[in-house]
Amino acid sequence: MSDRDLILPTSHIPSVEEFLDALHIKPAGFAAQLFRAVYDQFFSWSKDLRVEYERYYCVEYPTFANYLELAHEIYLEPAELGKVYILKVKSPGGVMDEAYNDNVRNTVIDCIRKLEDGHEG
Amino acid sequence: MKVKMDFVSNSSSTSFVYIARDMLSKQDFMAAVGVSANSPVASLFEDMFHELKERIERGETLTSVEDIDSLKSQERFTSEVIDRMKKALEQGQTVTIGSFSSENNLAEMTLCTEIFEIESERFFINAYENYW
Repeated sequence: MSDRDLILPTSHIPSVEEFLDALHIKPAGFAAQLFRAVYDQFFSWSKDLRVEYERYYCVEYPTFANYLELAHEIYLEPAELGKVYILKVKSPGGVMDEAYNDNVRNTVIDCIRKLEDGHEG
Repeated sequence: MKVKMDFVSNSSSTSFVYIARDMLSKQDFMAAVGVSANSPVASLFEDMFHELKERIERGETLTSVEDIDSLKSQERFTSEVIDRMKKALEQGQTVTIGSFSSENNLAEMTLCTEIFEIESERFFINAYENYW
């Protein structure tokens, strides 16, 4: 796995409307244009490693944790491993680019976590 | 202070046009882009506003149709936008062209690399040249 890739374990994939609403962004306009692209990076263009494992690698690797560790060098806590989706986001860019110290990656992840908590609660 | 921490390749600069009667205000910009002041990402758009305002202030004001027709960067704007610039001058609005660089900070890099148009009752910004 590239150092720039992001792993997001989550049990809820929000709709794009829910995502924008949580960020207090109106559904049309320049802010929505930017953050629809952020949504796509997380939820449209990411790869769900659990699906990958179950579809292609469950014979080769005895457990999902084993697959993550050996094939991707990803080490998750049991609580994270229990999430429905283990999303691998390839080199998040744009406003989430870690080359800039004021990137909004963590802000967006916090927002996704809150949506997940709200969905579970 | 905002710091760029890594090398960003393929630096570029792109053009935009700002048409309005007055200088851009933060309140108008935030409303036009569709982000609330209490948004967790509001600071990103506030930074964009400051970058944009600075770039407008440093930009070139076009005062006549001849100015528009003789623009070296005319090919950077669509014919619709060129027509809109000319009409704006007829209506007494100010037409300013400027440029964004991808080199400086996140806010300006984003403005530089996005293809966008922002329109409100008070202003019009077109940056369609910003393909990446």
